Amino acid sequence: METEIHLREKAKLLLQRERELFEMRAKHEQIAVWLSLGQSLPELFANHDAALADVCDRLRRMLLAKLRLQRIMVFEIQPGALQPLAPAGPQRSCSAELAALLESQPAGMCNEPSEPGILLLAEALGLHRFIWSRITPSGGAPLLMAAGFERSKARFQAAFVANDVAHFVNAAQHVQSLLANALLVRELQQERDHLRRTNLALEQRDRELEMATEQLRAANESLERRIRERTRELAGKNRELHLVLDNVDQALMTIDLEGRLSSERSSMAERWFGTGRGQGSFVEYVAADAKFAEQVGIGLEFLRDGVMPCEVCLEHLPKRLAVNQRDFECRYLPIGEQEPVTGLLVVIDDVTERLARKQEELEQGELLAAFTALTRDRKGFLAFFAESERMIAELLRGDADTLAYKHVLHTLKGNTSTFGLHAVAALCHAAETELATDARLRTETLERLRIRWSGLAETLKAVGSAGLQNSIEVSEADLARLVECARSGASAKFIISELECLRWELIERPLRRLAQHASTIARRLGKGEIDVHVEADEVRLDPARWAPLWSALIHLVRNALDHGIEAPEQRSNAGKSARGWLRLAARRVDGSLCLEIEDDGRGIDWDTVRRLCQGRGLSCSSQSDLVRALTSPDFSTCPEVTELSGRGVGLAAVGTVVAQLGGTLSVDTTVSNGTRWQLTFPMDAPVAAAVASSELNSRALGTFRV
Amino acid sequence: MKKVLVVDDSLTVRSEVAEALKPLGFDVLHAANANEAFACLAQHRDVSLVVLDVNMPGMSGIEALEQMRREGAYPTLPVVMLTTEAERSLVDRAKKAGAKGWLLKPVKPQLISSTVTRLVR
Repeated sequence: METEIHLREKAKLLLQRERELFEMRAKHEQIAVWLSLGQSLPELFANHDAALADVCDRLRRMLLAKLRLQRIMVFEIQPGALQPLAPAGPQRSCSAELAALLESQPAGMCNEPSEPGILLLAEALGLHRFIWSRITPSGGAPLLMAAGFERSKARFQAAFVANDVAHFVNAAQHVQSLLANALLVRELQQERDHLRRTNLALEQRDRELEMATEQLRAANESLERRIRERTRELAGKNRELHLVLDNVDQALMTIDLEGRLSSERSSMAERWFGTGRGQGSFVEYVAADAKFAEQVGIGLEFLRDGVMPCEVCLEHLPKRLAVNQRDFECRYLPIGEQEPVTGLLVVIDDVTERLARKQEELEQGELLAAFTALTRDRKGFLAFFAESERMIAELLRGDADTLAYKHVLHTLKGNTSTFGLHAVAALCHAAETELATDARLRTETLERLRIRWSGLAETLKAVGSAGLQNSIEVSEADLARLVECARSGASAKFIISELECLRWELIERPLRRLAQHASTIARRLGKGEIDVHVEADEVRLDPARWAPLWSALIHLVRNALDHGIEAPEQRSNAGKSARGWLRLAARRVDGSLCLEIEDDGRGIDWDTVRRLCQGRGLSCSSQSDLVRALTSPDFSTCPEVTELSGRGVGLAAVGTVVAQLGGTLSVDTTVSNGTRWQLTFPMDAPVAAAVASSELNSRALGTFRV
Repeated sequence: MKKVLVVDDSLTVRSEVAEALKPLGFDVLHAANANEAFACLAQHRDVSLVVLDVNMPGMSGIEALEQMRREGAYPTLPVVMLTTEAERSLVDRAKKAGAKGWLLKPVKPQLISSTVTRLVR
């Protein structure tokens, strides 16, 4: 019996011990489970890219596998709702009380839901016996982890104890840390990726920058190379330019609109005008006179004003320059394509030789003309020469008044022109112009005339035979006639008078000379070829006495051609023949010598004459009044002055001469039909005795002593 | 048609100026002296430009210009002087009286055309 009780006691102890062991083993198992859970958790979070839902899912499966619980749930706590993360499912609502409970009791257990709060939770979870824990992973919404049994299974399970909650909360905290970690790692990875990307971008930019720098450097090099080439080219061109400047035979220089010279100029410029200072004035450099300087000043001022077109301004700049006894011709070319012009290129040519040659040609031509006239019409030329010498002497005496000077110069010009002595004629024209503009003659002008004239005279005298003045032309016929006279026994008186008359020329001669001159003038005036008719009978005139008349007649002829006879076109339009018509006639009528100069031109406009008369207060009622007006000094109906006429001198000269010779002047004219001047001179009683010779008769007494 | 008045005692000169300007479509009026010029201006009140000779018998071109400006009737009418030679004193005087240009005789048609065209614009 004792043994039985002993055995029974021992058995009880054994059972107790077994139970304790069992409990310890269970506890041990539990701890082991939690430990292994703890060790496995990090694996879940090894893939840092995994989504939260995935992680929670894996977590749930693991917890399910390890903890032998029926249900494991993970929710995201959102305002007013619990969003299941694992397992997936519909949202469950979370009332304010529930939320408050979760806030106040972040972890806990429930074996039998009894408290209202817990009841809510149980309902929301759908569990009866469970543990929960709330974690707040950084950077996200709070999560609710719950694990437990539904109602149906809860009975068969042991109740949860505080340890369980502690372990669970630990695990939950572990998860929270791991989540935070994962988040951190993810963030770090993102940062790292971001940095890597930035780095790549920077490296890319670096490379681009390097390329750009390289290109820039290359461009710079090529630019420098081009600049070096250009400089070489320019230097070459400069040398070529200098070559041109050094070899051109003109003086080239540039000036600005203030008249200042630039330093570049051609060698010829330096040779003619010197080196000068660097930025001197153009006018000073060429040592021009005041007139030249004035014209340069005016021209440049017009250019600076910019009102008139460039070419008009340039016209004002002086074209002739006389310096150091050389003559230069200046041209001005604008620099730059457009207006306003900024400077001028001055081109200066030395024309001394050319001008000298021209003058030489003129003078040689003059000499030739003189000789030609001398041989062709000796008497006439000599008479003219003598008269001209007289006129020049008068000019040089310097005691005449302006009006007389005018007459003399005008007549001298006309005469010398007739005989082709154009150099002298030109000098007379220059003197005439000077007299007209300045109202006096400079001594140099007269001196030039005198020099030329005496030069001419010297040459002629040297070449012509001795006794220029003293020989007389007698035609064979005249000589034969006189011999016949003498043989026929004419009286000595008669023969002497005839011989003396030989000195005189036939009136036809001077008329023919006039006619020749008329043709030349007509051509020069652009009136074309004209018909000149000379009608003269056998009158012989004493040249000494009558020479002035021929000079005066030239004026009438000139007038007829210049103002009377129109240009061929105008004549055709007016229904006249294109060739002008001029008539020079001389005949004796009763006791007078009657000369007529007639043209078929446009006639004298008496209305103009009358108007001018009235303007000057001259009477103009009768014909003779008008003639007197026409021949008064400075009277001209011509609006312009040409080389030949219009100065109001010609007719006045005629008037004077006619008066001096005791004659009368009248004019007959009709507008557009023509004009006829009549000069009538009284003659002494004529009457040479009739001579027997038939020749003589047929010639009808040709001599008049006047 | 724009009107241009040419004042010069020489018919030849007036004709040459007219010849140069007619092809450009200008109506050219003639005056032989200052008085005729004033009469013409009074009669044709729409003259666009005057070409005025300096050397004329009676009132000279410069005096005529000064009178034109003085009497206030034609203060802005463009005037171009015409002369054989431009002298400093005359140029200054004409400029003061408001002359726009100077042309030299003998007149070149090309220069008249370009000057008148530019000043009338």
